[in-house]
Amino acid sequence: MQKGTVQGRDTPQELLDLVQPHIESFDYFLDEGVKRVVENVDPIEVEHSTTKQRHKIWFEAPRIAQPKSDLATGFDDRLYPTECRESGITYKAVLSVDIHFQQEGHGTQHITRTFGSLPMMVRSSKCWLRKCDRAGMVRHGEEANEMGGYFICNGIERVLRMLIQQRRHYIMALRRGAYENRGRNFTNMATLIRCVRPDESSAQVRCHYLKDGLVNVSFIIRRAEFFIPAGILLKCFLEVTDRELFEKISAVDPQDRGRAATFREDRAELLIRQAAHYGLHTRAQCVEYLGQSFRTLVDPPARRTDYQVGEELLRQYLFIHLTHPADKLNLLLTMLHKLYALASGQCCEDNPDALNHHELLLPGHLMMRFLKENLEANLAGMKASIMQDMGRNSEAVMLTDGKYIKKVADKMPDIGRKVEYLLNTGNMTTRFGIDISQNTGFTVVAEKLNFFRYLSHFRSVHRGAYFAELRTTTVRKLLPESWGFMCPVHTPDGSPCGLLNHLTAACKVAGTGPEVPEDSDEGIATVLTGLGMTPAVPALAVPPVPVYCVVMLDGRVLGHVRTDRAPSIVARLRAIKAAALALLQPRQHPADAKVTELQGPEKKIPAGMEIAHLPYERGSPYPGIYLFTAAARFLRPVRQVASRAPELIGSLEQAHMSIRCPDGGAGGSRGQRFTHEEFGTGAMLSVVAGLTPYSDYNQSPRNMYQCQMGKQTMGTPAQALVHRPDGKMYRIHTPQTPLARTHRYDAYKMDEYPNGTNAIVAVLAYTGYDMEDAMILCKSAVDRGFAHGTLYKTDTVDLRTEKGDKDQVFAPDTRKPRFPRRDMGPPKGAFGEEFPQNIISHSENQSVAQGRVRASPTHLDPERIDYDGLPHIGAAIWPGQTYYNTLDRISKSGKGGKLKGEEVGVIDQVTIIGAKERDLQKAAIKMRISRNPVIGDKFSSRHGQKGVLSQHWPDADMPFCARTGIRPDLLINPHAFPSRMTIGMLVESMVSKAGALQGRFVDASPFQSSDGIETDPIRDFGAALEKAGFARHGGEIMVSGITGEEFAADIFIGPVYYQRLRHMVSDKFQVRSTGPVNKLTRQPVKGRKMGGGIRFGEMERDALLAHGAAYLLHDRLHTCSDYDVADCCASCGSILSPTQRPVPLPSIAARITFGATPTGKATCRICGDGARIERVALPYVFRYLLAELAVMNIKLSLTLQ
Amino acid sequence: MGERAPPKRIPQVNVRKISPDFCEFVLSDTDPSVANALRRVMLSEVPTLAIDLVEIEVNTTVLNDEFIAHRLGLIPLVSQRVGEFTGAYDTNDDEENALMDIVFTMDVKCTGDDTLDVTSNDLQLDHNFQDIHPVAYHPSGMPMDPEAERGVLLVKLRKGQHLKLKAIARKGIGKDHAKWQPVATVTFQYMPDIRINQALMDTLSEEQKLEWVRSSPNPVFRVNPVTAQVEVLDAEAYRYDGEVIAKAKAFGKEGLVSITPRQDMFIFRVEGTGAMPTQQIVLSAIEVLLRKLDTLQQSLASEAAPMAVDNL
Repeated sequence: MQKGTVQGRDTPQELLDLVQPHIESFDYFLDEGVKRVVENVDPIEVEHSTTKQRHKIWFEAPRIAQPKSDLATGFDDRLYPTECRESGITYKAVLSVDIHFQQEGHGTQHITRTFGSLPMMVRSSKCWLRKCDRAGMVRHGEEANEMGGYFICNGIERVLRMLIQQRRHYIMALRRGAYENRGRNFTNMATLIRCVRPDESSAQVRCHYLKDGLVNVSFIIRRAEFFIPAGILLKCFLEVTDRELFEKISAVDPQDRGRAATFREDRAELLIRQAAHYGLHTRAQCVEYLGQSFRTLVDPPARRTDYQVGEELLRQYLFIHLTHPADKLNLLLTMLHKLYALASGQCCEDNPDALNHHELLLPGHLMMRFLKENLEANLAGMKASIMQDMGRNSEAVMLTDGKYIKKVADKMPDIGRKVEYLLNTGNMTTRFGIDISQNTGFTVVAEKLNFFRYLSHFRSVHRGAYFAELRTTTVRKLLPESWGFMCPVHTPDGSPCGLLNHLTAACKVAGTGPEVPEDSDEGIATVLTGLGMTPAVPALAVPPVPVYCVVMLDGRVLGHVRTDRAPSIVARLRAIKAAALALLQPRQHPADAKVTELQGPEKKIPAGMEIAHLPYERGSPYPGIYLFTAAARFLRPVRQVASRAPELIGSLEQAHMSIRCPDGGAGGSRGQRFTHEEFGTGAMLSVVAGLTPYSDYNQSPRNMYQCQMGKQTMGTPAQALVHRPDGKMYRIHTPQTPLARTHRYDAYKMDEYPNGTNAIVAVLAYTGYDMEDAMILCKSAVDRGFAHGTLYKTDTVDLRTEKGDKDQVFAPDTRKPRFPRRDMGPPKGAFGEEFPQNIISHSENQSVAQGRVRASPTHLDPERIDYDGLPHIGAAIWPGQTYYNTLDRISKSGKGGKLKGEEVGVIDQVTIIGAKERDLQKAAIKMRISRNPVIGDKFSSRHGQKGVLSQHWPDADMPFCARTGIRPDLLINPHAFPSRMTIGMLVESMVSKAGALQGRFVDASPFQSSDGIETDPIRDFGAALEKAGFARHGGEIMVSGITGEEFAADIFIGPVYYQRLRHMVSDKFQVRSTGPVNKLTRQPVKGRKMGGGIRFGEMERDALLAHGAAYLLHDRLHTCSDYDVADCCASCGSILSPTQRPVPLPSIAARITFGATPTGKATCRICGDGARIERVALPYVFRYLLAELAVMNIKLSLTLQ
Repeated sequence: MGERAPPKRIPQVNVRKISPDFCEFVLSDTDPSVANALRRVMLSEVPTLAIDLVEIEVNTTVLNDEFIAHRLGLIPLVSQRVGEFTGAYDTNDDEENALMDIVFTMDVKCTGDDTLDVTSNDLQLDHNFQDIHPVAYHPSGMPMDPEAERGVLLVKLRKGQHLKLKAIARKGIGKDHAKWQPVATVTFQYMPDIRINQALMDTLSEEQKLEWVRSSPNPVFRVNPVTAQVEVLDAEAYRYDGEVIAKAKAFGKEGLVSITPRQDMFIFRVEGTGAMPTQQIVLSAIEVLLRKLDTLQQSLASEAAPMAVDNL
């Protein structure tokens, strides 16, 4: 029974794995990424205007500290996440960078500058909780099973969303209509590659195919696109002869005279002529040409030659992931080959919406990009301010003086604050754009409504804000490529459907590349050469294409292999990869698995390497062996059939692998030779979807609905409730562990955060109160605590004002009452409740002793509010009552905070929040509001069957089982089943009943037979039921509780796990008889909060008209709305002109005796008399309309009859 | 001469098993409405005592006030003496001295390092009503039989946590709140009326008879080893599962057996909560029922009397 709870010393690995992409990437950012970013920020050069000395300034040695408290008084100034949550501050740590400066030919000096504080991810490597065990977590006021992975911004937990991006370093062939608009001769075909530097900044390069057979290469400088003829670019990288280039481009076997071969040869010739056409023959000429053309854009120092500028351009904007020119040339050639293959129909285009061409933008990587942009901007800003200073007074500018540099450096904006803004709002403000298509929606709040919802935030993946507005639905489609990586079930319905997906439970994301990329790259190249790869050497020609295929590693051409040898090479690589994984995780390695011994360079092959072998086939994707070791890729484990060893596979390679189910069956592909098998059928499901019992028995959309409803369930949000100041938090009091559960339930320790109750559910139509998805609860079950719940509301009162014009403190209300205090009488709630009440029975209570309140309830403030102005713990606060008091020490005026809403709250906790100020200025008051089931509350089973509570049915009237006397807790209507086909719910009921009778929990995992488990729940558990003396299929004879007669049919009854959803009437009901009206129109206002009404609109009006209910219509639209009586002048037809003319009084004395001025007779100011003034009933808006029209000089006159 | 009076039936009760917590009896010679009325009254109208008002003075436990109050309410109190009390809403002005409240107190503080269980045994009884106490009550501090029930668990305390409260028990009925229900379940079952068509049965072979008998999931029939005839072993074990009828149909012998629920014989099972012995529950239920009938009769009489005057 302890299976569903956490036992060990540490947070279980299964839970940590859920946040792995977040933590791993952020750790990379903290430990490695910052350094990479700073290394890659180019130095600035300044020439002093008087000394003409050149100076260089750059960043070095970034350091990120651990979070520190600025309030700490003792020696321990560690800032823990709990403190941030409770006091509403940000969990952040100082970022400091050294600014180095150097005069040309002299030594370097440096100063240190802090760039504010970066928000820290909880449980990242700089977090104090990183190494905490569960006991330590509890000591620090955290959840025992804290997983981390989020930031705390102003006390709110926020998660950086994972976004889908195009896969890096893979050449994609695309056809897009938009490409034709790029210029004359452009076709819709292009190949493109997204290149990523080690600092995670990225840039795309595209090769466009032109109608005349030429190719233009496009790249982006500061959000603008530029084109270079490929013929020129080809010559820019290496000194190659035209002959060599021709052979490299055409890559044909001299004997091959096929169509494809001549196609390439023709175009190769064209490209070579292209450069010549511009009069460019040598490499230097080409580079110079580029430099000359792009000089203004790159903005280099004036002394740079065109050649240098050209080199700079190639380095900074083209194939930025590669450093060696030979590699760049090879990559460009491969792009051309793929483009020609696309143009000649040799290969097909790639689908940019398929997951095999995707990777993820991870939190850490986003931070790297953001940091880089800001550092670059800061450095550029520094240069600008130095230039400005030199323009003003160049003598004062001393670029070798640390003081001056510090002065300038201090002007740099705070980066920490920008990151905080990004996290708080989810908006990114960038100057140059960092190759991300959106600038909003980067963060979401990690709501702790229940554990399902909470963990889903860390597993969710968004396709990008751009696609949400897209009219087409192709991007939302579920494609087979997503299998095993994205859950097909767990996506919301409605507008984000298919765009907001969730990773499967087993899916990981590579947070980092290999530790030393050069090392592993070299190892891979050596191993491949040993296996028969021809390395790509500049001197060698590219071997002919269909016979040989290209081998690429992270967007670098390693060489070529013979197509027929490729499968064996790949098989060997996979064996090595599996062995590497076994070395990496020896403990998770299964005992029966056999892996090869690794030798020499093989040891350098990373376990997470992706080996995508795309075989040659005309019309299918471009062939080759594509290896990936870089970060941000999707990874998941599968088992190798031959060795039984686990292997991590990526999404590109998966599409070309043969993976079967664990039952060993061929599925739909008879005769297929499978090399791999799944670890379980659960591999395709997300954590939440995998928790639905018997989901394989349900109609598929019902499982999607359950994924939604599971996340809206009132459950157990957290264990450390006392340390959570969330504005709203729901909790149920009597949760249970489900009788029927999937194996995921135990694996993810769901008993730590239970979500529902096993209710005895009878399926029958009884009383009619169960029509249309309503459900009936047994009143006694509710009395005994079924689905009882609480809403926790925290109100944080902060007395500090922005302007500081007030000096407020918490204090009791000491003002002398204007009227003698009298008993207020017990207040009444919205439903007429009279309990609970505050009874002061203590004679030693200060307030009682001083005679301020009597020992019996008086319902006066001091009963609730203590001497510190804050409420007592346990005080019941009624709507409209004050629950704290403040005093302004300047104006000496007091103020009380009144409880809003219609419900009685009980003070649960008062948290005093310290700050730099001496007096108490901030307190969080947590209130408990009872939310026991009332009519209108929403419940659901785990099968997408939601219903609204319609009655608390008396126990005696409930039907009961003749044999056992059991009265069901819950009745649902049988009509809920035929159209929805949630057979899983019926099976769950039957199986749970058998499980309850046998005293055991039942494994209700879906697709058990495909996992190789021989089972048929209906047969097996039917037999168990029969053995226990019940009918085989869960039916029982029941007797009507009202008449005492037996029902003619057997009733299906059994335990079903029910969830209580957070949608409750108490939050939603809206009633109004009279209430506030709009000032201008005198019509009732709208909105629940304001006590407004619900609009009686045109369609409702039509309905009443159709029924001829004219009186009712008049009542709704006039009498109950803006009924008004107006004076109307029948002669001129105006209602604006009649006025009440006061009767002139002869003297002041008379006025005094009469009191107020008596109202006189109505007169028309147009006609001059009140002869024909009539009183008419009109809607007040009509008068308003007339007034508005009158302003526009339009007269509207009425004809009275 | 009015209508013919229905045959006078004197309902019979045949008690099969009786213990403080469980009783089984057969009610015969009556009809379902009476049986159901008895069941309904036992479930929701037999008065008992239960904690109804809780004044919490100190609560530093992990559970909140409402939750503890709710748990206290659900503790069954031994309420044999319930008849002496008056319900909170039943008082008349002239009954000022009516017994209403039984005041329990509780004051538990955990001082040790181990978790302390607060149970119903920690309730201090009312001096005036020493015999009104929670079920299975062993006052804390008294030597306790390790085998004995440990009382109803309310909350667990860690070091320094304190719970101090006053709980007032009152009389009430299950209709108002489930805590006043004296029974966990009460149910009645219709006695099945099983008639075997022996003539048709004799057409079956021995094996077929045995097969037919075995087709019932519960042992309802048996083949008499002496006479080789099929007879009813235990009619009550029949679950209306229809298996034997289906089997007979499969043999092509429809009408082999007819099984109908008898409309005048009911097997009652009463499971008490411990608040009252089951015998008292049943008797008290009958009393309530009689009182209701009396009220009805009186009301009818008072309705009828002025009417008779009007008719004159």
